[in-house]
Amino acid sequence: MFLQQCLNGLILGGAYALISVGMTMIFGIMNISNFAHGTIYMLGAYCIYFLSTAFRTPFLIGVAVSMLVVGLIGVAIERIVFRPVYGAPVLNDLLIALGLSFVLENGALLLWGSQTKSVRTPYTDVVFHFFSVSVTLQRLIALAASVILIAGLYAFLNYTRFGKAIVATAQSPKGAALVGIDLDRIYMTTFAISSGLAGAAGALLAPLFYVFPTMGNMPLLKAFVVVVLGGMGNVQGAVVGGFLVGIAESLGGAYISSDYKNVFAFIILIGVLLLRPQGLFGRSESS
Amino acid sequence: MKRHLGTVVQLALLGLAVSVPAVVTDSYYQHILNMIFLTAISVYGFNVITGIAGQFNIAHAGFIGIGAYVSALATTRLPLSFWTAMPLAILATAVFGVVIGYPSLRLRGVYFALTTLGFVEILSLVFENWVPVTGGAMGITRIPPPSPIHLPGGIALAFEEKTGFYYLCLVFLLAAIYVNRQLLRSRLGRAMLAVRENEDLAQSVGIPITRTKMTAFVLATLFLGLTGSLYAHYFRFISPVSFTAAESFRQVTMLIVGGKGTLLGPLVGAAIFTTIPEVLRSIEDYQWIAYGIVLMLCVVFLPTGIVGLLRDLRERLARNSPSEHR
Repeated sequence: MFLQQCLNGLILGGAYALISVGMTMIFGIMNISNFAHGTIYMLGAYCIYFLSTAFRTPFLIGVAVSMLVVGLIGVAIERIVFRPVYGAPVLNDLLIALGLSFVLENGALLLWGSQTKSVRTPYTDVVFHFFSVSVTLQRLIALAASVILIAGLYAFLNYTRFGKAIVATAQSPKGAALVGIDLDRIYMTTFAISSGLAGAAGALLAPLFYVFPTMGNMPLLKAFVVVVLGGMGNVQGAVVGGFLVGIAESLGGAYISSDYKNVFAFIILIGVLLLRPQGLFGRSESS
Repeated sequence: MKRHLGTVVQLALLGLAVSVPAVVTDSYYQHILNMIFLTAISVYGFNVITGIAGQFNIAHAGFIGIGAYVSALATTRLPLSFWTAMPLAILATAVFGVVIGYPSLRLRGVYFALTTLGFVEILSLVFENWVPVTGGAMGITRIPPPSPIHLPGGIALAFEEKTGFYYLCLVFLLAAIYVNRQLLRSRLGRAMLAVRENEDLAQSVGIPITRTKMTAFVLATLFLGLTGSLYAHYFRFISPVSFTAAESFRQVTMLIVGGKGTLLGPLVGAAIFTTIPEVLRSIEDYQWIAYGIVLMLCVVFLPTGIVGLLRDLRERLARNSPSEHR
């Protein structure tokens, strides 16, 4: 039971981490809290639903294509929607992201209707048992893909020139601009990566849950918890936080109360905000 | 002369508002008017904390819920009338406001918004799962309407009909507008505006940031407790779905489009967003997409909403016309 819940928590946590790293990057670099991030995750799920029903695309190729498509949508969103609010008071970017999420969520509702869709793959029928734990291949693929994508992001940020430029911009936008980093390109790439990862998370989880227009709301809230827990703007923090929240939720739901399963994350959120607003790994906020 | 003109216009509008039920006898239209007023009262509360003080309170609808549940429970489980339950609901909401506001308002901007998001989600879950008290997803039914007031001379004011409720809402709406007006003209209100525009700068000129935000927050919760109570006794039925973050988002859209930080913005916003879905039933599917686009456009192009736009136009006209003595 305990091991099973831990494994479930890890799988959930991997997805939370994927969604949250993008959100924390956008916050760290553009100082925007993206309320529309959950709807971008939802787009990833609809994308793979569309691919698998219309073209019978194999699952993993579908995930890759969804990631690409949603990443491109992210670029368009950055150009059109968020550009006007850089540097404006916090309220403005919260509101503009909120407006965007209305549009995306209800756009999906118009296109695909409110009834839930499901994505079928051959992997859901393959079940492994070891010790007292059982898990489908589909879930293992979701976990493995999350880990690979996060490792890929880590490598990109630390070992490529452009990745290092993104990290530099997060640390000091002015300094980065002074040494000749093109901030426009950084912003665009950050949005592309962030949206692509959220899209990939949506595509990976689509076969495990149902696909519907408001499916992004809970993951969005959880991602906020994770981002705050890890320290806003802190990528490693978001990864660790994602797994922590996933496991806390799994165990809390199993051992304490499943009705209040979703409360645990918010108790963590409020606790962290009140006791340690800079997050578990964040530096203390100076300004 | 101009001041007298303003008073005349105000009195004329008041006269109009008082005589509306005599003209609008259709109960459907009366219901829409009641909904506009009821919603506007809480949007005025939103105006205080978000429009004027600039703190995005996503727990807005959760506070309305607290007011509604307290009032409903007080009249269905306890032998209290609406007239005792309503102040009790306002008090309870304000107490929650202090308890939630005190720790969370030390946090800035987005952190505050996120804390309130956490609170509204927890409140929704409590409303939904604390079945013995809140009735769970089924909610609370058979909430009594406000009991009639007996005036000397055998006159009784009844609130079971939509007309009676209209006047009740009108009185509270006028009170809400009055409080907003006094606030906007006061030193405290200007301090709140300063906090909204630039917290560091406001602090540097000696404005106590946390205390100013706290005052705005608790003041706003009074409006919300009132709205919750009125809502419960108007519909006589409440359930958790009315008090979720989505309702906060709907009302903030009203505030922004109507005009944040303006005196009439909340009423204009509430009127527009309550009427349009009723009039344009055919576009129901596109409604929220339109809200989203309008919200985004207003944030970028109309920071003070429709009311601000009209005010700017009027000022521009006044400046250009040579006959106007200023």
